[in-house]
Amino acid sequence: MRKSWNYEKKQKLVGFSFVVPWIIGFGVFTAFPLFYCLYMALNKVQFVTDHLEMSPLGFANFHKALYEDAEIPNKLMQTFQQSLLIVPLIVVFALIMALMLNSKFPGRAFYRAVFFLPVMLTSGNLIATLTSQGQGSISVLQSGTAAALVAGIGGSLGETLKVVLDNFLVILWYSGVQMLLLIAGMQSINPSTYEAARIDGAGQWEILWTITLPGLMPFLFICVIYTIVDQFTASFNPILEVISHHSVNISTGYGYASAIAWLYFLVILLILGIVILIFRKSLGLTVQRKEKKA
Amino acid sequence: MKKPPFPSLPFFRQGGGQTPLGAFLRRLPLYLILTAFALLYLEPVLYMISMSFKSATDITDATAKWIPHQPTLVSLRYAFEAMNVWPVFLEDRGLWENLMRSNLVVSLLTTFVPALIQVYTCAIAGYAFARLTFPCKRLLFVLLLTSYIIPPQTVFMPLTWVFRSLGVINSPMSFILPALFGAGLKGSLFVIIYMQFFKKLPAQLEEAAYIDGASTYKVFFTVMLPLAKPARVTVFLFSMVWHWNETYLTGLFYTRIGTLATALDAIKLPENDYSMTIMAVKMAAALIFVLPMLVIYLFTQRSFTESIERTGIVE
Repeated sequence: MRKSWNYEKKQKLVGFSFVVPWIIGFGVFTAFPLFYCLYMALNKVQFVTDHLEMSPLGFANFHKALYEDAEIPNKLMQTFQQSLLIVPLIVVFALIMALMLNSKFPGRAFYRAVFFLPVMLTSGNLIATLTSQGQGSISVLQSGTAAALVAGIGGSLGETLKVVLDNFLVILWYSGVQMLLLIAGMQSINPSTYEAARIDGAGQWEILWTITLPGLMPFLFICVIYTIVDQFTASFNPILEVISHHSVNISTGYGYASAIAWLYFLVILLILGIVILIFRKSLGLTVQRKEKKA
Repeated sequence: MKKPPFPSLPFFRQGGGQTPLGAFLRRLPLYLILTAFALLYLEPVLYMISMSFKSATDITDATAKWIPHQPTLVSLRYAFEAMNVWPVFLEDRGLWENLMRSNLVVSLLTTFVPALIQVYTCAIAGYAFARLTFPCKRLLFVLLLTSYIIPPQTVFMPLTWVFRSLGVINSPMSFILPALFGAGLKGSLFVIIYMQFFKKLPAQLEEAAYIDGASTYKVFFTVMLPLAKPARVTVFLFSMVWHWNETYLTGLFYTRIGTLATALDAIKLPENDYSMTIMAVKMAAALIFVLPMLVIYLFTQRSFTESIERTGIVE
């Protein structure tokens, strides 16, 4: 008995040695700035020639952001709703595209090279330069005829199509990373599983639903997380604009900006919590719990 | 023997092609859809290329929309100069200082060194989260996710202090140092990517190595890490592109040196020079900026198509 306990302890130590560098990095480059930011949120921060002067305010900054500044809760709500809408659309689009790009056909190297372009163009300011010269948009979709056509469909299908149409550019340009992730994920599904399924007489749809999609779940999780964060931290996000504006504004100051930033984290955390709940199976979190109880 | 089908949409059935024409017709919907989207993605790039070669008269000429009538290298040449691509060697400075004057050198150092480091350091942490046990694992996983969602815009002030007190401002070290700890630009995302990949690898190979008496470290470096090739390629490509394109953090950390990305943002027309237009110059600069990444992607994308068959896992 004693020996096995020792073994377990040793294994934990070995495991810990693998994460120690990450923990140090997290402490220095993430936790410290984050908590310093919280400290500043509880203070009034003022620049005095060469240093910052802090005067404790308590929760006044948070109170102000939530109750006095009508703009902030509004924009937080807006971002929340927008992401609920756009994230599933982007992930589904990326999934369909990845499935298509992963099938074997002559010329797929060319298509894969082309589908890398959105990754390259949207992660920096390049897309802004391009759109300022009228590129990257689809004039057909923005014309009245397309809108009228969709409006004619009516019902919930029409509603969905309208949402897709309105956000088509975002879906088109911000799904490149997800496509590559899913293509890479498909390489990790064991081909012999497919063979076995085929021998058992499974149809193509059955294979998609019972092997490909469950096998892709861990990667769909990354895609969802990535999409949420990408949408939330994109430079066009209204909240970040507000934060940047206040952090250089002398009358409100960096403390106030930090308070908004913290409220913003809490909203993203809330959404992440929902996502983890949805994907808890593929993350192995529930299985672990069961094992512990048993 | 029949090849196993690739995971794909059932609508586009593969294999079983009788004649080449039959196979092509069967794939026609696939080609149509992919080509439609490919054109949407290609259009801005073609525009960028065509614009870079346009002379001032071509820009207002509607008949020269795609192919310039009087192609010129003026914009490209000017953009190359203005972006400080090549190092200009001054005799009274050291070699390092001279190299740092080139935006291309700074960009390359800020891109490839951290990307290569992240491929390994993030793999180590990702493997621990996927396969090993350690205290507070679940709490640390939540912290991992949390660290990914923090936009640098919100913590820029304390972040700059940390980097300044570490003395890595104005040097590519400001990206290399965090990468060494599996942190750095989107480091947490890479850890998560590795985590999900390692979870999917079958346990048999690991077990076989343990039975042979290998230590956890040995199993990781000689068995698991080589098997995670799709993950390594993915992480390297993303890390490379994101470092290359980064402007916010480089804006914070680099005050005396610059990267191509910041130079691209700042490009302007020379004063009192009417031979060029800002649109053409911007596109020429963008072309110079994108080209290295595209070339590297064309060489690495082959690894994406490599299926796990070739990595030797057979159950």
